Amino acid sequence: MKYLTIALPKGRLAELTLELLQKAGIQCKSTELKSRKLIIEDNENLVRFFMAKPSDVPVYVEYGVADLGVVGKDTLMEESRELYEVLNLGFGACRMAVAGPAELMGKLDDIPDKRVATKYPKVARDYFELVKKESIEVIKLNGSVELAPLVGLSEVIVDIVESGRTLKENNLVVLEEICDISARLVVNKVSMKMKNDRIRELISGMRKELDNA
Amino acid sequence: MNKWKFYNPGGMQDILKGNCYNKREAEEKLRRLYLSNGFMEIETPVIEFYDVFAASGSETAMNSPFKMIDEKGRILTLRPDMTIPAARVASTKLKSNDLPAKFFYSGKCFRTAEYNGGQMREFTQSGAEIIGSGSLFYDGLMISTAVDAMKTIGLDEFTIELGQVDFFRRLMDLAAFNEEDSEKIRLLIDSKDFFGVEEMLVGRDMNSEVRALILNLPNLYGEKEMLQEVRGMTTDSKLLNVLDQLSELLEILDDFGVSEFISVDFGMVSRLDYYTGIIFRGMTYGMGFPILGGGRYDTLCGKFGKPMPATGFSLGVDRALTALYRNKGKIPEEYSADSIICFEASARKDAMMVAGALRGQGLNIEMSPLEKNVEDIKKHATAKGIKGIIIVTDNGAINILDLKSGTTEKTDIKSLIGGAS
Repeated sequence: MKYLTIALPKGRLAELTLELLQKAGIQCKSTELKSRKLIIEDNENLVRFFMAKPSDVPVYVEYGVADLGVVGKDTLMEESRELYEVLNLGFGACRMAVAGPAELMGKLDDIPDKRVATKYPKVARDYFELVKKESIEVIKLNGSVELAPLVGLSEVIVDIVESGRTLKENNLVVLEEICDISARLVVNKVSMKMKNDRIRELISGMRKELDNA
Repeated sequence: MNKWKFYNPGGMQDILKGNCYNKREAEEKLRRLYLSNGFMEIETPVIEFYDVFAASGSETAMNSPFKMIDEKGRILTLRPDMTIPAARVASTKLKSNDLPAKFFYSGKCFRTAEYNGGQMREFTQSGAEIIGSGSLFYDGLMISTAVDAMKTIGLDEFTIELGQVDFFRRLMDLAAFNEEDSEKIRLLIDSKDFFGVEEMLVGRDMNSEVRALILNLPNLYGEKEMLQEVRGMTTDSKLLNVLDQLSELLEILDDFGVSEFISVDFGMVSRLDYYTGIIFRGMTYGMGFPILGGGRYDTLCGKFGKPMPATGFSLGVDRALTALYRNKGKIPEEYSADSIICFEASARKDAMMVAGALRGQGLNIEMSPLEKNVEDIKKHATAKGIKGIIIVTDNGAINILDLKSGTTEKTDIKSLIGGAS
């Protein structure tokens, strides 16, 4: 039998996923997780985990070096890779939204060719161009996106919103919601077929746990 | 400045040594496979009018970045695919007696990297097409030939997965989805996004049987026994027809003796482009992407003025070989000459005679004037994997160095090539 390789996003999502996997019958010592090891192997059950930067998980899975992976829907939307997206894990829940100063509430459509700052250029473009049918100028940033409208780099931002605290502290509000975001289980398209039995078993085990929760 | 002169454009590669040798050998073995099935080789131009591909409606084809303008302002493009040119040839160049046409080909195609990087933009496709017959037997023949092609490459653990486009299309009709919504749900089903499919059906009015089938579509894959399960889920005569046809195809494949490699996926609705009925793709360990794809395209020839049914497949030779090397954990065998003949200038003619005689025995012989010292030649030969060095000097004396055993044998031209001199 071949190893089943699972790519996990470093951090909180990895912990939650391992907890869920444990309940679904796949063991992994949490002490090892706390170490700085990037690859953890379970020789008995032939399962291998590795820790990757969250936004890279879809790459590892698409190329098939990982059979499965856990990744936020936001990353999946931005990366749009050839994957099976088989399970909504529910955790890491937040929203993808357009945000800006409160005075723009209800007036978003009045600004032509607006500048949109975001870590998610594709998500922003898809939303404005395909859903709202308008052209925008996308400004790609790598973090602290909230700063952009405050200093006049852009009119609005597209970003994930969890509690809304950062927005509030900077006098920004959610102007429009794009979609809900949560962690997803993704599977390589070839692995799904070549390692069908094990992956199906794993998915149904996880689904059962999620339904019970 | 010429600053790019040292590099290949992205997605283009030089193929050297064992990689090149093995690739050509693989293409040749595939050629023999198709010939042994009575297929006829065709060659079509690398450059075609863009209209040829635009007519097909294939997005992959139309999105190709390799376009040029000819002297009359018409758009030319590097072929992204071999099936569309084959359909053009069959529709425009063949007479009815030639049908069904059984073509095969092996050649370079050019595309935008399909996935986000790391994929070749120039790659070799080897494949076969049967144009001018809708017989289900031919779907079976194409699929069993695809199995043989995978084996010919040297792969043993692989799956050929069957899908049926009509099944999905009929469900969309039954659910009264418009084109835009069909496309949306097609993407969701193709990525087995159960959650997304479920969300999309919320608030839509449809027959409960149809709803259950659409919801389940991402999950309807597996061994052929699954067909029975699906049969139990529907009463629609058109869907049942599709299932009957698939059952019969599986029987044909059983007769071909390839059943063990076959699986079925009703949720396989990836980029339909010109496909119309049974579609399939081949996959193996070590490669996260399919390495083979094919299926029925009954409406494509009509775009070239001669409606007729057709089916075919093509194998990505480079990708298949990469998968093979990864699965077997070995790098390709190096090709090398058997021996290298080194000669002093005055012994040139003798050396040619020796080379000719040895080639006549079926050996591959490289010739090289004796310009370096013997140690350097040994290094060169060892690096290339050549097993012997034959040094011819002006008095007809010959030294044979066996690089494997390290021994040297002294002989002369007469005893080496017998009465030939």
